Amino acid sequence: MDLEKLINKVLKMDVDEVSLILEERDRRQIRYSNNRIDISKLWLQKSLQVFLAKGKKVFSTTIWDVNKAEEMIQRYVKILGNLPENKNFFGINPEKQSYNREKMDSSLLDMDLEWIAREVIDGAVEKGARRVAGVIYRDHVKREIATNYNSHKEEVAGIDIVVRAFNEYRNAGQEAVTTAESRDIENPREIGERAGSIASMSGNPKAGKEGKFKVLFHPLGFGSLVSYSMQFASAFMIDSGMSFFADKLGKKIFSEKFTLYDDPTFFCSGHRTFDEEATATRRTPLVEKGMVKNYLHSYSTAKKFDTTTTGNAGIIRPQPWQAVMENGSKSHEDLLNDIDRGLFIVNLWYTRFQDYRNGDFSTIPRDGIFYIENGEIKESWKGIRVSDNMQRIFSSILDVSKERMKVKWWDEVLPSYLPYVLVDGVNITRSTL
Amino acid sequence: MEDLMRKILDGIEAKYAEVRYIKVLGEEVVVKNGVVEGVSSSEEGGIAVRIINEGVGFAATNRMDKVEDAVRVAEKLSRKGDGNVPFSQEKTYEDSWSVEEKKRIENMALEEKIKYLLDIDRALKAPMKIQTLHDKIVEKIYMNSEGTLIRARIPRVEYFYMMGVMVDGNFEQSYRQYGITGGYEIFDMYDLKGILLEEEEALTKVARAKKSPEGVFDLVIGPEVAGIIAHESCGHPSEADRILGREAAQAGESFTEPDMVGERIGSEIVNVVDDPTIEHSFGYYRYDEEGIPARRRYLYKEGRINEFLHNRESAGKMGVHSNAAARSSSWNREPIARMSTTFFEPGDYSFEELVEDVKMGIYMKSFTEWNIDDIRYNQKYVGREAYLIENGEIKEPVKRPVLEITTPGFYSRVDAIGKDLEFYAGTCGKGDPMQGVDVWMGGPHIRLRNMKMR
Repeated sequence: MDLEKLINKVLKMDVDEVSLILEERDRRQIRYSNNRIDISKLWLQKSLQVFLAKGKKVFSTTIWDVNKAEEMIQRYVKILGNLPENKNFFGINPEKQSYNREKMDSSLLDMDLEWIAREVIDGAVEKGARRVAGVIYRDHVKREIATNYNSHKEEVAGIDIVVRAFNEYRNAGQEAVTTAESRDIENPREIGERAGSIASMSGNPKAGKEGKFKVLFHPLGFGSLVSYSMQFASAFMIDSGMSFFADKLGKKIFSEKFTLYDDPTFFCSGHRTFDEEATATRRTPLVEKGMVKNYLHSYSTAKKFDTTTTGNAGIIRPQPWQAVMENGSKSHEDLLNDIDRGLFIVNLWYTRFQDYRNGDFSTIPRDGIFYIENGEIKESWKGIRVSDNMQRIFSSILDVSKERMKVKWWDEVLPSYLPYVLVDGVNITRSTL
Repeated sequence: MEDLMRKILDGIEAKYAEVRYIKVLGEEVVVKNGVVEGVSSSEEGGIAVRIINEGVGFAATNRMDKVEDAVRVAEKLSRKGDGNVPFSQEKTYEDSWSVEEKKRIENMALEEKIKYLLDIDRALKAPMKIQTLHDKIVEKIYMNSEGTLIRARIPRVEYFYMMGVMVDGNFEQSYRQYGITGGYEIFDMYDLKGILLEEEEALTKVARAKKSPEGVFDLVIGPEVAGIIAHESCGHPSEADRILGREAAQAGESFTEPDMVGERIGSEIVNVVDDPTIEHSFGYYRYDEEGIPARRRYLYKEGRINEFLHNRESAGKMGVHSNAAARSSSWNREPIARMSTTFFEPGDYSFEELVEDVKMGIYMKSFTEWNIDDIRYNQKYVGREAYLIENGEIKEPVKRPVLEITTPGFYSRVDAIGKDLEFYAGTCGKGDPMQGVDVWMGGPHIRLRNMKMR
């Protein structure tokens, strides 16, 4: 499909502004459990994402039969004319863009995923795991965009390796590594070994206790908190009023140690060079040394908020691409040593909010919960919950480690590059019956 | 399409193979704080094959020029396993089924949908509100190498809202989903404007209320709370693939073991079923995604673990037959064991009878934050609309009562079950890549004794 020809045809229709994104995706997956591969999958997909505007009237769709694109767009243009105006829409980005050169490690495309799965399983078993489950993904995407004002192409690839290892007491350890560079996964066995070691260390866990604890979060666990929170930094959610970031811009409300970027320029699996209106992506500080610096914007939401786009379109609903946090100067072992009485938590899941506006939430630790006394692991726990407030968590960060890890897990954790994070006074609760 | 699918199937060398074609026509309107933020439309479809030889290979494509390539790769992938793929033996079926729309989706003008949402928006005083109206018509053809051929046409409509009120600096929020399998008769089945106005009023009362007291109380839960509990701590732990560990690295496993059928989980009056055959239910189907006829499943019966939810893979591993729980959320997803409509069967108490002998209690009518661990054992539900009960009477509203409890802890304290029954829609998440499937969950009012509340 010639996107330039298509957009020229569409612009002759009854529309003012258009964004077309043609995406070709070749994706492989291995799923495994109980130490064996359950299923091997392939997806070959091609789609055309379409955004149409006539004045303040907007319409969007994804066309899966791209051979019928012109005919279908003609139909949608007729619908567009009859829609009410979206007074929150201020156009797509008209400024000429200069793009970063995209990076792709082509050797990822030739990697033997079955071999990786077996290495990961063997590594976990070697460290004492009884059962190992997980998933390996390899994603290869060719993406091309054309708008009234800009056009660009990119080709990216990434690999995710998720391994969850169980010991004889059904206690688990987990690693969820993501990368765009083959050098990061030259030794997949070592990733399995890490998960297996956590599982083995866990032994037979004891029922956890309630109270307020210093908690050292593994990058995966903190990634879950960051990933949920970044959705609330979207200008769409700010504008709705249902976000704990609302009315916080320019305010120093979090810990000095907390600096968080949305950074699709960082070379990992969330790397991309343009957003959904062809704005060049960039590194956007959301929180800098505790101060809320930016929300995530498209050109249109930025106009409404009297600022400039951050390259995060979704034209109507801006979205985060990749979380990156600044690191600190201490090792994660040193941070563990700073805990007199507290916990080390590897992973979190099922984060839910009772109050989007203020950030009251709870989430469930898993895949390694260790009780620490005077810097040493005393025992492993089970059955606890973090019941706290997200603003309070971010304002109570005591320190972050110098090591950072590239993590991504399922629908819980965005592609992220994060340190270990030590938080004070985390409220732990548990079932009462 | 059927001819193409037959040709694909005939060209596959395998112990077992299936071909699935799904096409989805959909439309969605989003209104945020009085503004029509987005209108989108989709026409999505593609072909998927699942092939069993020494392993299982799966390929999906929406590119007709790549179908042959995709099938050959899936065939190759199916030969990479270790030769042990148990799959239950089932009868074969050939059938076509569809669901009637009393008010056809294609006849509902976009302008009408927009007007409906704006009308609700204007009626509400809440400063924060997002509404989504989504409809779809799903057309499916499924065939396998054993001779099963199922054609289906499934219309579905769903409505979702989020709302937040602020009273004297106190914020309260609510979000709910209403959905049916059928057409725009959904607007006749639910008075959505009336429901949201009631909800707004309830949130406003709760925003002014005091925090719910801590202590031991009798607890009466509403159908919405019963529904989420049935879904989370009965439906999910009854999914056989979880029990067998196949979801271990994603949605998790189950506290239930394969040999626990018959073990007590709660009081004798507890019956929780999963039933895909309830008319209009959001997760309604007549045949599952492996061509097995749907039926009601008693997951917990008379307080005991009774039956698991199976697709053919889990049934084969456990040496039983599938009970038609295989669902795939899209043309490019594998069929895995899922719920449909999961609910507590009603008892014989009226609401007044449930409440009348409660001396000090809490009525948790609806919920907000909730979560459960990945073996479906430790769970938390926070009340959204809730009231104190004193000497058999519903008293003042209270803010956000918290129930944090284990699965047997909850089911064993069930003391009386109402004769009413309500369902709520949801999108259940599981699988990797994520498969959100349409479900209902529900139940009657239920009373529990001596519950520690926060």
